[in-house]
Amino acid sequence: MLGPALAVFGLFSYWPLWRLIHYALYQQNQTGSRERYVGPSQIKDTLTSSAFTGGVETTLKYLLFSVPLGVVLGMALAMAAHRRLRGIKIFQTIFSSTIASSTAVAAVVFFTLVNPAIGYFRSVSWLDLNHPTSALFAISLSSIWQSLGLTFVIVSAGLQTVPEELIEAATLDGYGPLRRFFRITVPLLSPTLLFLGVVLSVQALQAYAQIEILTNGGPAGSTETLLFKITHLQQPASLGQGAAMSLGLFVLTMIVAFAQFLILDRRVHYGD
Amino acid sequence: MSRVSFDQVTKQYGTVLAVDHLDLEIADRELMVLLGPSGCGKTTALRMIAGLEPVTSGTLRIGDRVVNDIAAKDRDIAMVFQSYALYPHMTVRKNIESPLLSRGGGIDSNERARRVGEAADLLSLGDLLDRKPAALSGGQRQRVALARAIVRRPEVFLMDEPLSNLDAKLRTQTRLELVDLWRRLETTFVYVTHDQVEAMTMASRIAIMNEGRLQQVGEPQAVYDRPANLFVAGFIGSPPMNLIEGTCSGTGIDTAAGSVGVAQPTAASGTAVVAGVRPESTVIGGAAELRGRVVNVEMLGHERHVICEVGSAGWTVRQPVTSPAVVVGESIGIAIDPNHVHLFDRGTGARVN
Repeated sequence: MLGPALAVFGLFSYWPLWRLIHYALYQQNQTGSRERYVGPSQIKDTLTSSAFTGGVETTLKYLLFSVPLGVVLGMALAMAAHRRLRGIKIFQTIFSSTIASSTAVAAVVFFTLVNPAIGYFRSVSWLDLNHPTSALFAISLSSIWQSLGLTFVIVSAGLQTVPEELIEAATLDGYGPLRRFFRITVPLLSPTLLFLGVVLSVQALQAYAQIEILTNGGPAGSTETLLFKITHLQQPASLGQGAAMSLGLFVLTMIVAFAQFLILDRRVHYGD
Repeated sequence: MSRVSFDQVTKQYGTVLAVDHLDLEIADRELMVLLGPSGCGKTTALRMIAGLEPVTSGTLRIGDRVVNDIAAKDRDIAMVFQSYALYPHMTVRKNIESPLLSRGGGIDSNERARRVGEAADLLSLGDLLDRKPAALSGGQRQRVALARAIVRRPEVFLMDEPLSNLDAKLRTQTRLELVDLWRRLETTFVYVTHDQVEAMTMASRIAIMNEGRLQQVGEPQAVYDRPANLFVAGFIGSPPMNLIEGTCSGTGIDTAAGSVGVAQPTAASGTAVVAGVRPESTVIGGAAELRGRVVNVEMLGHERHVICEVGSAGWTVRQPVTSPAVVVGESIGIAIDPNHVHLFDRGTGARVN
């Protein structure tokens, strides 16, 4: 019964991972026609290199810029759209619309908005893609914007599971709007928020398209995330390094996901 | 003073009139039950007292204060919801304490702990204070909801069908406990239910509602003995009152199945009426006034219900199990106590005798 599922999983997950490990343990020649076994030393040398650690640092900065702000903004929009007001469905449609856009499309639109010649936000210094101190943050904003639809939809769905009677009981108990939000709504939304945190973190760790389009890794390499670096190690001679970095990214993703579950899971309330 | 008064209170949702010009006085320390079928407006009326629904028009008072524009948290009321509305991520202790935490100023931690302990002792929750609601039974959750309401020492307790999620045995036991609690707390309870047994056994007075309008207010026995209209007559009593259409004659009521004598007919001869007789006020045989046919016999152990067809109307007779047995399909005569015939105008449904 499980055969077909295992076959697909094996073909598209386990076999590529096995091949990745293989490439990390071997070194290719310039043309890729021959390979020789170099062992774990290639992995060790790659993962301790300044290229890898620099990529990790940039990627983690990017994650810290994009994930918390993305969750908070998505929540704010979902809370605003959760109220029973006339015409609110229009805003719900607008807020969730970016779910239909791709990363590349969002990046191109953002690029136009901050274009130094014609962009609407060309004068905003912290959106300057040409400055090393602001470029990464600006890219993270484009990702936040593109993910806002997904965040909004997921949090909105989560809000539907918070019983209205609990909010009413809190109102009668004397809780004001802020206290109701932090003491009642957020704890009951915690499974949704944990899920969002993990999903957005994995997305951030795999950031590539927006960097390629907006800055191509510049200025001065300040936006070279790990995946960006890996995709620029495609020549046969550097395939081993690229594979080693990919393994490093794989392990980093697992660590970040597990860490979130470990630290945050005890604060998550899973209901009855 | 913790009386509640509705003065021509109306609640409208768009074109839908949920509560229609309600006039009702709930006395201090009374256990008033709002009774009626689903959609009758009883819960809406309760939620207006709580401040969870704004009043469309009319005046709502709690004590001497007009509360139409007063926020829910400032009305000095406490509410037990149908689902109990316990905070699932908080322990029982925290749930009970929560109304005291949000009041701000004036209640220090020692006082809070004392009040929580008091409420927990009153409702036998001492061993459960560190559990979360998911680890409690339905009855225990309900007691926690009551404790959370009690700890606030409100002027008025509001209860929205608090027994509906309990099994039958627990419901009976909890009914007694709630009445006992009301007596001990000596404060006003406003209790919403669709279950007439709860209403009859618990209420100081019952307010029966239908389609947003108040039908009758009175003590349980008074409502049972003299229903004000056809709706109340058919709603109160189990099995429900037998109803048959007829026309007033000089001495009684002429129906398609026979003539029914009435001790004090007050409607003019020729008036189209509906005669109502409670199942316990009719017997099979005797000086039969109506003819009918047995359709079913329900054995309840201590009594039996004989379901009959009388003309085109259904008719139930309650009789002790020692009465002569009847069989399905048998033609029978039904005698009626003329002192217990209720007459209602066939057009308006209002009582006429």
